[in-house]
Amino acid sequence: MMKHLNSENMKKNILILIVIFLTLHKSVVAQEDSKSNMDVYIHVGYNLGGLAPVSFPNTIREIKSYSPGFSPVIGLESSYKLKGGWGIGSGIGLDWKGMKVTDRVQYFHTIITMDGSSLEGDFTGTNTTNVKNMYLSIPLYASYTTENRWRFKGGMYFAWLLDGSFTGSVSDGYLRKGNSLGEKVEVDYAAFDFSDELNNFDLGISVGAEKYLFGNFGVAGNLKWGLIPGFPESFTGIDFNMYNIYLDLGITYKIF
Amino acid sequence: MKNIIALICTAFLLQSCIKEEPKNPEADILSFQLDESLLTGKTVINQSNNTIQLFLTGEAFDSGVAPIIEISPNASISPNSLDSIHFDNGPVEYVVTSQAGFNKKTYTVEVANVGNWTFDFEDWKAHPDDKYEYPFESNGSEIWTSGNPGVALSGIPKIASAYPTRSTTDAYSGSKAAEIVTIPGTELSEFLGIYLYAGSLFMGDFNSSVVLINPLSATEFGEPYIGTPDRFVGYYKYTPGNTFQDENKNPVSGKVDECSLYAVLFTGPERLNGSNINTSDKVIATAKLPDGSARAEYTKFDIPFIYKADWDSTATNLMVAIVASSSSEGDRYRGALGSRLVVDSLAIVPR
Repeated sequence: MMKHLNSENMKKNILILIVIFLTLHKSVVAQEDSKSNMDVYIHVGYNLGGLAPVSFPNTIREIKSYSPGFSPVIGLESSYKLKGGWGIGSGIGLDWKGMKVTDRVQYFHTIITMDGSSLEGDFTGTNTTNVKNMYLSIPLYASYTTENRWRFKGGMYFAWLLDGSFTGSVSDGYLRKGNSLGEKVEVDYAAFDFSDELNNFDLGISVGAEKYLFGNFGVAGNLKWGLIPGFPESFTGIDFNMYNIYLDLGITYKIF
Repeated sequence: MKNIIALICTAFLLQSCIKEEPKNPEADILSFQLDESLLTGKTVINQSNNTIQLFLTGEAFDSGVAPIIEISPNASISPNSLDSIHFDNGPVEYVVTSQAGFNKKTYTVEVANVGNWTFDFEDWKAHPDDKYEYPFESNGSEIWTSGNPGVALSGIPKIASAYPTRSTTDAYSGSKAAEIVTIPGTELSEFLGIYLYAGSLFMGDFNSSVVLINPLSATEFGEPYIGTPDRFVGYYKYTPGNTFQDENKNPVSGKVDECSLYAVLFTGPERLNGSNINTSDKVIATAKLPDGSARAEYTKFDIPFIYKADWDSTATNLMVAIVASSSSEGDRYRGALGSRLVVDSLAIVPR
């Protein structure tokens, strides 16, 4: 688990990043007239979604339970006003993207490789997957603000994995060694941990809307759709690609 | 707000709905049933090399049998369940075709016959995919097996010499003997807490299906025996490995590995396995090598079966198992890496 950074250090790093961001912002603002073209927002929200295939393969037979787990979002954004309600924005944020899902799978192909040894086969039974990934994310977007206090955003995000965890278990089933013709090996419980295999970088499309209700307070929704698979091509433990597909629901406060 | 969540969830579900169930790709013979009066021992379905061994009475062999065969759901089989089969022209083949069609499996049904109970380990076959070796008898029967099918699951390199049990040209008689070596676990097995695989060679069947749940019960010992055995004889040599290690890979200083070599007579037709062969009250007599220490050169052994005082001499369905291991505590994953046992010209001498 080399990727599991010391959390104290991490907190410190994040604070430093926020301070740098604010300082840069202040200096930009300072160069402007008092009538600034910059808006600064703080956003807190909750990520609902999963690291999931875009289309479920037919080896997944049933989702028995799903929970997003503790998946908060906190971000600081700044946008520069252009003409006619348009603007461009960026920011910095922390995105916890997690899920806990239990599903029933059938003939689920997997190759588990550890250094020199590998086991390939088709698993039928119950799978539980627990994902808890923390990303440092930087959005880049165009915005449009309407007169009735809606603000729409569309753009991209770039995300770096700071702390990744992808663990789980297979249980109450059997593995067919090699492929579906192979020997049947009963499995009552076996744990897996693919945390170290996760891709360290993600980028994706982001679209969102904010509605300002009371003064500078607004509710916000953001759909963030990752375009880079959660695991690199070389990873064979799961034979389909999974993407970070999350809806971030929360509140936004316009600081100035 | 609730509506928005519901809407988004619906959108997700539309994207990612559960697809139609795939057609069953499995093509197994699950059971192969014959009336017990036709059998001298319990039928073995060996799923690792797709063979079925029948232990038939002489009459059943002559008249042929009509087994009730259970296969994977929605698969088909040829010949059909309940069709009569005869063994006059040797083994009989069954082809199972899965519901999905693309998977076919051919099982070879053979009449197992231990014959004269002398074993020279001259003829060996390699498993087609995993490449581990196993001996077969001059009449074609596969009487001996080992822990190799279990070790194959831990992702060992697919070459015969990587497995604990294999042939060797270091023979006492003929050109080959059976070599049994204690090897280290793999990265995968260490993940399950297994740091050492003792080599083993035994009469019977290795049942891979239970190897993760209960490894000791995967080794199913014994073949039907007619008569009463008197002595277990043969030749062996043994070199213990350098450092004895416990089940957690910690060296145990001062302890030297020992081999284990024994034969057991017990009441069948149910086989005994690694979890009960030492404790079962079905055991009638045992012939065990008393000293498992090093022997640099081939050494003869001749051990009498010690019978329990109260054994029933009219018992039928008797079975005998011969079990050899390069580390006597290998069933608990204890031993010394590199311990090497070689056996040749084993025999059960009748009274």
